[in-house]
Amino acid sequence: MEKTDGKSYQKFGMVIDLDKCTGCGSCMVACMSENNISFRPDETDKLRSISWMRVYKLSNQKPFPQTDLCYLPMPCMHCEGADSGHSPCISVCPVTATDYDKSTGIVSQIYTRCFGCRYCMVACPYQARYFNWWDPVWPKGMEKMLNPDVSPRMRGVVEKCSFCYHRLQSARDKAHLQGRPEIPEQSYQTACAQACPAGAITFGDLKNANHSISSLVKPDFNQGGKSKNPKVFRLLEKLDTKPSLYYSSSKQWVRDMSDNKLREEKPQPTITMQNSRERRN
Amino acid sequence: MKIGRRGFLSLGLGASAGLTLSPLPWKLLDDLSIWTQNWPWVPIPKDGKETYQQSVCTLCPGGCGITVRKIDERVVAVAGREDFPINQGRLCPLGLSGPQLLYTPVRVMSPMLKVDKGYRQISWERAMSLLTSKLRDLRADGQPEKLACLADSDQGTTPGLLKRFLTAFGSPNFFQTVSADDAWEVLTEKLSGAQFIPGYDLEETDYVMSLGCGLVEGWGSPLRTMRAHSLWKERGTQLVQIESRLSGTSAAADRWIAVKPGTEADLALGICRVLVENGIENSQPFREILRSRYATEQVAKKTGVSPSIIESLADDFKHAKRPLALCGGGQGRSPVASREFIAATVLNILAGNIDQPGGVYRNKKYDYLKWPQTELDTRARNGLKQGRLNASPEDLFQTIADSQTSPIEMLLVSGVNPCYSCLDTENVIQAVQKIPFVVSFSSYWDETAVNADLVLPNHSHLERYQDVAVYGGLTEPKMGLSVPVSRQLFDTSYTGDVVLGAAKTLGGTISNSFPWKNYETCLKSTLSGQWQALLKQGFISLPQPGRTPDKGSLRLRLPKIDAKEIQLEGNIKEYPLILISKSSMRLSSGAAGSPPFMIKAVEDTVLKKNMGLVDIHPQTAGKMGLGEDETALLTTPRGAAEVMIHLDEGTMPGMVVISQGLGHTAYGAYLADKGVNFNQLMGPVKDPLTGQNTAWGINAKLSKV
Amino acid sequence: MSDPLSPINPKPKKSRTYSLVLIFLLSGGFFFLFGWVAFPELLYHSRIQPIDFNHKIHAKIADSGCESCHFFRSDGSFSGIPGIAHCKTCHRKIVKQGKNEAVFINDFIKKEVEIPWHVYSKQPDSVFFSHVAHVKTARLECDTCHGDIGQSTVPKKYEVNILTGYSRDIWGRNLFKPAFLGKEKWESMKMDDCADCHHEKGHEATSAQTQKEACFVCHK
Repeated sequence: MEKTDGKSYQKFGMVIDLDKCTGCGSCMVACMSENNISFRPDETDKLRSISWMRVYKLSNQKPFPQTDLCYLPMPCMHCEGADSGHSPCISVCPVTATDYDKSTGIVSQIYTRCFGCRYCMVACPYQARYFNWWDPVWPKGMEKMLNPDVSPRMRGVVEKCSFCYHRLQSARDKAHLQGRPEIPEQSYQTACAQACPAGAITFGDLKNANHSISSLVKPDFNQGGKSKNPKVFRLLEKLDTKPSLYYSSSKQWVRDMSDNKLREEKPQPTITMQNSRERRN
Repeated sequence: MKIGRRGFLSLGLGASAGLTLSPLPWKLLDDLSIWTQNWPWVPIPKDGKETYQQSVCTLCPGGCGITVRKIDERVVAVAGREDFPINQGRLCPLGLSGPQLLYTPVRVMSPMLKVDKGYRQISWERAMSLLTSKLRDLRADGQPEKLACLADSDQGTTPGLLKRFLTAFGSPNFFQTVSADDAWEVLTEKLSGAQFIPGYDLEETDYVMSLGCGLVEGWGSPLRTMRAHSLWKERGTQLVQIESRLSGTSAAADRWIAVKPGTEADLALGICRVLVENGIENSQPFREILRSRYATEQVAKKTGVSPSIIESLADDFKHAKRPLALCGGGQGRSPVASREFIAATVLNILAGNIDQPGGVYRNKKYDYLKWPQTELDTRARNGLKQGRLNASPEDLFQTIADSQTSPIEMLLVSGVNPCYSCLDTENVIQAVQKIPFVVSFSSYWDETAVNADLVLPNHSHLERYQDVAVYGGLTEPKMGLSVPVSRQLFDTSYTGDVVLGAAKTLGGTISNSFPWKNYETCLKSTLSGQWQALLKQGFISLPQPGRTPDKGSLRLRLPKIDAKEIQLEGNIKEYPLILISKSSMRLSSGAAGSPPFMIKAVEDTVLKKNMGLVDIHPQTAGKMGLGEDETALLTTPRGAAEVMIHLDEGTMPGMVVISQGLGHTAYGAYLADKGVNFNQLMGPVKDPLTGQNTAWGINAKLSKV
Repeated sequence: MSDPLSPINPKPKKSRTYSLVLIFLLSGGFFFLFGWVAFPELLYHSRIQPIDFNHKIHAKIADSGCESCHFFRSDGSFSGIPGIAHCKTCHRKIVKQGKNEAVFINDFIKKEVEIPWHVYSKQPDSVFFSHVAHVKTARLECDTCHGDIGQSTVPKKYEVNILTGYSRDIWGRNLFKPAFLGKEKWESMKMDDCADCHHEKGHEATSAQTQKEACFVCHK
């Protein structure tokens, strides 16, 4: 917390087991509830709808009945970027509204500093950032359920998943009070990981051997955090964004979809992403 | 002194220099930027003392335990309760949206009386006097049987009080939405002579053959089933999904067998035949029936599944250590067709898993109410002698719709929303409007409340005590106790208290039948032995007397094995497509309308602006000249609606799939007028054996608009 | 004939320059004073606290000093200014005769209304401040950041910045007076003030960009 000299730096990450994921959307709703996400009567325009955690649907596009689908929950990837902190969004922000915390590996977003140029939204390869086109309007009475640990945003600022950083702040408060330096794994869990009915989301410190995520992911930090587990992958690895978010799937076609392939590497499957922030055919 | 142009400039420069050397411009700039960030209409949630309170969610029959986070006295979040067996700290989108259902402005905030233009707020005194005077009149006319009640179930104290009231009053017309559990009891009674509700040991099975069950779409007790599915993935338990479309469960399965719709039972019986032929013992007559009607070639033709696959499925089932067959399509809440039940049960009998780990447990409904006999006077006896008007709510509404004057004078509606969730919805709404006096106990302005004459709002789910029995395929049925975690926000009242108040006012035997001061007293005394345990852990297990693990044998009356299949409404020439529904955890099709958080989670291939989309195979759409996002008219024998097309390879050619849970007309701007209500396009089809509604689809057509 | 374009009675250059400089200096001086004296008067409005709370008397009775009423809850959060529930533990009825107490009992305790204190140290919603980290772990005394409020007999003067809505104590006293000239920590509590103290204490620069601590340490 004060002098850490890099040794006790943590790297918080998440692994989502796509075999277990049922596409139920609990992670989305838990996130909305926890983070005071605004909502409007019409949320069908997904380019305008704010949803820090969003579940996409992948299809292998094979004809019936060889068709297969896979749900893909995508929050912010909390990219480390090349050179520890050069995440795509951080590199382009003109006002340092977004920053990389080397001690936790979390990419922060400060709403009061952001002035809404949306350059970061352009830069993010995962489309994980959302813009407040309008001021939030809560139906009368519903403002009572707002979480005081998270600041509601006004129009004109960009927001994104924060790995429920406020929960780490609360967990640290407790640790300070009890005089214990270390925060147990269960004391800091994101809302989505906590709610997932299938237990598909595992959150924790990738650098801590005691956290379940490190044994699930087995990240090789000499290779930019790439997983040693063949079933585990990250999206768009080639971009070297070094995301902290991993996925695990036993389906080869899903793993193949995680990155673009050069012609000589493998035949390019045509993919469709539903819940369209991005439609590619 | 004359100040010329230069003088003016000098003045200006001096001013600038002076100001610059003062804090004014710097402070003003910074303060202005802060001012622009403090618009008064962006709320700043007030901080305070954080507490957690435990309760049980009552929004669906799943019965999950919840932990409610409060700041000072405000409910701020709902999460799953860690130490609760059903969900173990996890929760579904509906449960998580609980606070929205507490604070929504769509709540009925006081008793409301229908007047010429809309509704007028009245006091509880006035509401109760109006209610009791109408009840008194009905009794005085000697027609107590003209009082009817529609409740969500017959289990629990609130439906119990309503049913008891009707009995003491003299009306046999207590109806409940027929659930899968009710259907089980009828089926098992008819086929095996003893009533039971199946409990499935999902946790211990190593091979699951699912006849179209939406296991990851909210089947049985949704959280429990999803957790079991995750266990299967960890342990390598095989899941075979027999379903006509690529649902989430089909995708999650190790094998997806795409059968023609409605032929799941045929495939299962075909597999039984192979098993029986290959030596799994059973009776000669049984073998004969299977051989004659379910030979592999016949089944292959009927289902569209190749003989080799049928053989391989039988082989896998035979070699599994603890195979288990499940039936109950979709979320498994509505009655199952007898054929499917027979097919699944025969498979389970052949697997030898009845009352065994990894198999089917025969659970019994446990009546914990144990109240004294209801007192009856002559009027009541005469009324009860008339017998219940119809077997099911659907039949009741049909009868009312068909009659000149409604045979029911007064209808009480509790915990259900028939004007949305009953099939052939338009017809049902008309029937409800025919009834002279309709009372709704809904906490929200739902479709039934806006058609009611008097709305007596119950406390919302986070504001009340409620006992909830959870069967839903659990190995060990439970009863959970929901407790008030929020103070009562509005002028609402326990439905139980309305019943007790009315009973007291009516006096005589009716009043005698209700010896409790108020609802909470009634609840506490009913659960007295278990009260402390319920408060502490939130649930108790419901005793299952007489269940011996090694009993394990079940005999079915087999001649019924060729129970006819459900014929879909609509002739094929006019309606060449088959319309079915799909359920999703992101939309509530039950009594609670989907809160804004859930609607936000709905994909834009299900809802686009206000239009509901239907899934259809590209070939089928192509034949009709329909493309992606085009508008079309979907017509069934029961209704028609405009929809948008979504091309989906996972849908079988010749089928149309529509989402459940949309098409509301009430509940305010965040839910109303979005999409199409599947129930409106559907009509009930009676099961030939049980007489319950087991319609799984309807024939339909799509035309360009 | 005289040249019609030549100026009539042109002022000598030197005196024109002097008058210009004079105007410059006068206007400069006026606006300089305006900025330093009149502007704060205009910007800051005084507000009176609802109760003339006497800290000194209460501090004498309190067993645990400041922490008797301003304490840490078991989850590490800070209770802040006590609500009337806390005051009620002693002030259910009049304890000591006094006009203030009468107002307090009649207007607030009896009516169950929370006292609408004007909070000197209120920070914007975007700020996350952990009292426990500063008091328990860093062992800072309360008066380091709040001043010697514990010994006050009447509430400190509260002035609100009418543009931002925040107290003058946040940023408005002794502006531009550097620390080495005797500026107290409690006279200013904006982001840079917090950052300076953190820097003094040798906090690790965990931000990838700013050579300071990461943003989420103090923001939410």
